[in-house]
Amino acid sequence: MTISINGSARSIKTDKDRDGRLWWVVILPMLGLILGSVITVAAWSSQLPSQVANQWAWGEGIVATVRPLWLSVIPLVLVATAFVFGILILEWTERLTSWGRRITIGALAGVAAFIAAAPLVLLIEQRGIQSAWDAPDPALGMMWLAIAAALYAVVAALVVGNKPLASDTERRDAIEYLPLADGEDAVWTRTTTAWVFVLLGVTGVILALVGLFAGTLWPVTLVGAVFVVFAVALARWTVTVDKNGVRCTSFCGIARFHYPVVPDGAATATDVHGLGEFLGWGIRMGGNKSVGLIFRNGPALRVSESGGRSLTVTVNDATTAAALYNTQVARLTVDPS
Amino acid sequence: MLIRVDRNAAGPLHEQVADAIRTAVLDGDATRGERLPAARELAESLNISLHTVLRAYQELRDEGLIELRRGTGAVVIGLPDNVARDAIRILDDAVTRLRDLGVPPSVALELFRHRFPATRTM
Repeated sequence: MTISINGSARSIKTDKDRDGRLWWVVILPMLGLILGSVITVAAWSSQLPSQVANQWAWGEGIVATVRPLWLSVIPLVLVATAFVFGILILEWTERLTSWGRRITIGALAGVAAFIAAAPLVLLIEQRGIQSAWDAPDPALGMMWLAIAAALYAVVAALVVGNKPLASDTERRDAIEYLPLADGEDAVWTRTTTAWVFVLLGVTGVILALVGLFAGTLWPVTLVGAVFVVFAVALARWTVTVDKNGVRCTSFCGIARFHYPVVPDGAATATDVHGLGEFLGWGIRMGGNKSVGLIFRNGPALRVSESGGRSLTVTVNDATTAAALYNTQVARLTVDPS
Repeated sequence: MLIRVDRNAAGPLHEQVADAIRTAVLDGDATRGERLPAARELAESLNISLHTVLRAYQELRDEGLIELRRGTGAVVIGLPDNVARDAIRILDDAVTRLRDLGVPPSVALELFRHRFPATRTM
């Protein structure tokens, strides 16, 4: 698998595009759903008993608790609204600017949709009954609602898009060059261990052994084997910088990422924090073809160009690597041939 | 590990490649068990011939710093830890005593360089 981090300018999405999508796909539909839910319940209120069922005994389908109508509905409406405002606060405080934007928005929007629509599913079958204790169990309806909310979460996550992993403002901060004489060429190379995948491999071995010795748990062995295959393929990476750009190659070249030398390219040595910036460690794909190979916290090489395309890889001696890349860019600019 | 080759420099290209890798191995920049770039890739990156890279690798193999394995390519062996430790202790001791004797570093290096061919012929 080779991924060349290249592409046309037409595919570049701006932050404005993404923020607009958040409003049209998540915020406004969610507020509409909450409002619609309240209006519908208000319209049904004359057909509902004075108290409505809001809990059923698990597995028996018998009503467990009843409460006044609005005491059942308002808490759900408030929680759903809180989720929507939670997304807005994260957006306004710029917490949705890096990797994890999709997952965060998708999860919050899905839960908000489920809670906002829950009063409708709870109450639709209670219309026309005399006593709330006779209300039918809405388990099946709730299951369909959960599936619909999960699908909506996936759609929302896909549509809102990820933002680029590296921002434009940080890329020109400290550009350094490696002095190379005329007629001199250089290559920088370093091997790095992706401990996150080593850990995955160890987990895989434990699972495989547990599955083997437990006898009936063969699917666990299978999952463990898959983990081990991933670990072997992705635990060791070689990062190379030369006149062709930056290449990150895993064991036996199974996974490759290539960032070419481009006129607008710039490399910097930076410090990354996996959990805070990338929601953990591993391989990250951001918006605008930005890629992060985040194997640990600490020094990293980051190559980027205007528009958000970037490659970030955690590796030692990133300063030398960045300087060599910048020199190759300078050579390209001076002598485009 | 940074490998530079300068076509205008005095030394032959394969020596420059070998020197860069040797320095990386002795500085701990390239660690034991680490694979060196494939000879073909390195030659392409540095705009030099495959033969030049192979010659550098063979030189480092003869020095016992790397191992050339079929299938996996060149792998760093380096000096065994105890040998490296003893060598550094001997050299530190020699440097201190030469300084006490008032021998300038350039003269000490030249003397040191001359000792090796003499040792080999013994």
